[in-house]
Amino acid sequence: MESQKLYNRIGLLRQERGVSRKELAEVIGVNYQTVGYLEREEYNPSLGLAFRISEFFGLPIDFIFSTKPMKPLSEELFKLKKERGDE
Amino acid sequence: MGTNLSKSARRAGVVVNYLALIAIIIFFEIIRRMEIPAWITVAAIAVVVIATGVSYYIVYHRTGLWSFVHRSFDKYDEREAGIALNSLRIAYAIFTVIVLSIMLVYSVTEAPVNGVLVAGLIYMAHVLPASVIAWTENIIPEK
Repeated sequence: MESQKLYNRIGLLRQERGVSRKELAEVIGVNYQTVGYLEREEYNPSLGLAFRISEFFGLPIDFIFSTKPMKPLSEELFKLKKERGDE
Repeated sequence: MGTNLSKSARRAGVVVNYLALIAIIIFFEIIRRMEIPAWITVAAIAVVVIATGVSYYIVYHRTGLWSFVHRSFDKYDEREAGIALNSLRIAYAIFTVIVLSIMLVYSVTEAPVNGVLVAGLIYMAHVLPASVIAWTENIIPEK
């Protein structure tokens, strides 16, 4: 059984918040190596773990995880600003 | 925690460990059947026992693989549980085939069961899941 690849922004969000892998791992209840596997997209989390990660960052799951490659946040922000007609 | 050996180093260690284990079993079988000078017997057994012990220490003990596979199940996170269960699944298949093949050989030849062989199989039953992880995983699980 081959599982579908899941893309995520965990590494980006973690670095943005200045949190170490060990600190994140302790909060979400996994080994720090597992955080590395998640960030490298070599391991797909269970739904429960995905929810814990989403709660930790205070962001919706579909903002952190996607079945399609994720665009850079700067690109999405620019697109959003353009849609709103901001300068 | 443990020292993370390269995958090729771990594989080499696993091969050395099992070859030394097989050598111990064969030596004891030869000793039982043939008259060999005592000093040769002692020297040969000492060499293979040391080889088994050293390779066990480097591959399974120092890397933490032994304690990883013998950890209580609730101490694993979900990824580690997957690794542990997969290693047990593969180890079970390998171990079953080896034991049943040995039993078949013994039943066909009607030879008495060698106690050292049984001890070797008990050792193998314990290290086989760790061997599977050492052989297959790119990064050894740590705690």
